Amino acid sequence: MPTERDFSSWTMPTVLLLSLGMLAIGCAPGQPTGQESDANDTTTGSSADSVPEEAVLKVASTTSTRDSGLLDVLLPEFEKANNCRVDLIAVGTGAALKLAEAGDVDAVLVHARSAENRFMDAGHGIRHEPIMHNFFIIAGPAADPAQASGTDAVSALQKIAAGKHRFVSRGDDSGTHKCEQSLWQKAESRPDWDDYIESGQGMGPTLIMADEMNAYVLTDEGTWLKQSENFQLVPLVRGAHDLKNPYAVIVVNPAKSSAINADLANQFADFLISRRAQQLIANYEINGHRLFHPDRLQRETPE
Amino acid sequence: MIREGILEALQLLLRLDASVIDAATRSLWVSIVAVVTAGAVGISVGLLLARKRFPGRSVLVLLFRVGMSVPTVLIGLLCYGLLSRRGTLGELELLYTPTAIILGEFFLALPIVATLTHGAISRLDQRVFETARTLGAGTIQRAMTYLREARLAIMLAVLTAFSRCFTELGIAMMVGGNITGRTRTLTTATALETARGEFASGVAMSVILLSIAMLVTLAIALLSREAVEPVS
Amino acid sequence: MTSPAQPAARSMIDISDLTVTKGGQTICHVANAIVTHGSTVGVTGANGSGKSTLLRVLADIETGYDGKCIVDASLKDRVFVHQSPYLFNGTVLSNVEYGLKARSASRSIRHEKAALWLERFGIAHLALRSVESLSGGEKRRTALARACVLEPKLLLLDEPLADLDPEGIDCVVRSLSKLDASTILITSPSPLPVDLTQATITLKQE
Repeated sequence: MPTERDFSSWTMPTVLLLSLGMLAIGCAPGQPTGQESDANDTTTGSSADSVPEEAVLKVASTTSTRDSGLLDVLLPEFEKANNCRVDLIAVGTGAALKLAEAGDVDAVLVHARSAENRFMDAGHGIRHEPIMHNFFIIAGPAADPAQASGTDAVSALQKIAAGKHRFVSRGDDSGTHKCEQSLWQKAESRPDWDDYIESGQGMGPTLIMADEMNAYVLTDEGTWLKQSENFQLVPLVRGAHDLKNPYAVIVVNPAKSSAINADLANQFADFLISRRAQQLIANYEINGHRLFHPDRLQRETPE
Repeated sequence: MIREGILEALQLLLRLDASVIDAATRSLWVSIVAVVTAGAVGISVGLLLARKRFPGRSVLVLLFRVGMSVPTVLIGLLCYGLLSRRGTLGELELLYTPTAIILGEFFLALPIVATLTHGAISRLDQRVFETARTLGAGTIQRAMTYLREARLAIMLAVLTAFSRCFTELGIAMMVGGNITGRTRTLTTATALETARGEFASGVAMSVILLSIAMLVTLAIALLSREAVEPVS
Repeated sequence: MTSPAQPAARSMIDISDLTVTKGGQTICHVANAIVTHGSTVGVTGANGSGKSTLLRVLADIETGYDGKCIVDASLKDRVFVHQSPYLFNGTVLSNVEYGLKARSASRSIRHEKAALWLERFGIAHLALRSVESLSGGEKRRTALARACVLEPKLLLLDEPLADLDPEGIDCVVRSLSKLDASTILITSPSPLPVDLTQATITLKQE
């Protein structure tokens, strides 16, 4: 009959084995030698003359940008071309700009134009380059009780407000949320009825919530395309002019900190507006849908 | 940032900021209900595991011990799977309600209480069991006696479970949804402030959370003062 | 050593070639012993000769043994008191009433019986004291009162006279004599008072 004592007779050797295993894994060599050359560098001269280790570019961006998958295509290209590594920190829009303001990152890639303008006006960034744009869409229940379907975002919201239909908002001061707020302003309605729900979360969870609650929601197209396969919700307002969502890259002011890699950040901005990157952006698709519209492509591309 | 956070926390408290009070009471309510129910079940389970022999007992003990290490995000995910419209309990429409958070935190607290109660009772002096039995105590009287003899350790188990529930984020976020005025807790509010870039506000929320946790810990310590036996 | 056998009555305890082994060692061996109902028997022997073990076997706490050991009392009628008794969290009174509660005695009966035995053991003045504040002797008398109040058919006391002063020993002897319906077994490393026991079982270390 198993007793507590039987337990401990094989627990000890197992614990020992596991500890040894973990120790072994921990001691295994594997980091790129670039990191170790720091420790071995005995020269007292300026580090600019030493052998170039792998350069790192710290970029802050939003979770929806990361979730769209576009950066998984663009960043490796840049890394290869410039022999560097990009550390992407994906957080909320507000946090991304805050990190840039604090000088903790070299560049920031967001889609919140008014916040970006304030950022530049305050002198936190030295370069601002529009890169691409896409559109928000308003999705909602298939039955569409508010009859919001159409191409006019403002009138859609007016109808939703009039009927006090269930609407899920991000409520987190993100680019999406700010766009939503400006639309409510244009629609001259204040969203404060019981069924107006603020999730305080990212786009993904907010969409899931809207789907679970069968509610209307304003979402960026990237997240929508990625997640909506099994949704009950359907897109109702698409391609509306006032749903434009522009993206830009900002090079953080190097005066903030000596650790800021302004050169590499500028190269990053150059890359994003280059033909190569713009073409990659134009061709990027999710489930057969083109997601972004490049802003800096000189020649007319078909479609 | 931390100093600003503490100052902001004081300001929020002094002017009785409505959203903070809302988040704080919700955090408290949800954690307390979860811990009370998990406590009742967990203490019974711990008692059983310690005193009753049955096939598979050591496997159960192991499972509950491992259960103490389950990440809250995982519990949140599993509960979401249960409560989602497409899930088994979807019809109950519990998703994004405080009840859903209570459910998740129940599963967070249960292994903690069960395992620590089992440990506490197993470690009781053998004479406790022999004395209770020889004096003729029935099952219930014996159970009550063991709990009373181990009550300090069991109280600590409940306090541990409460602390874990009160400060968790993964469950509240996933199945609660951080909805303003409905399912926002102190932890999800902190996450939101952080995502917004309002780091000082995030710290403020956390300071308030820590203060409440400290008050609860003190309260339990005072209540259990009688339980502390002087070294004889 | 056996007590004079009563051929007509059934004995309370009938032991024949009882052996208890732990880890390959024989820790207790009794060739044969018969204890009649109502008698008080001492169990003596050097330390380690198995006195406590014998009592534990009789109390059904120790269940692994070889040989014959027949006890004419149900489990509920046997009460064992440890060499170093454990008192439950609470007061002297709550401890003494513990077994009575198990037998669903009514409040008034519990109170009455507890008061009686507290008085007999000379600890009535400690009734509402917390057990943590008691001296060694007071704890022992509480444990004994807790057992005696149940007036069990078979009372098994493991070294009940240890850490008691002569007055305390006197108290215990007088109280135990009140239990004339009970069969009492008392272990002791040294010889017990003559007026206490009617017979003695002596254990030798194997």
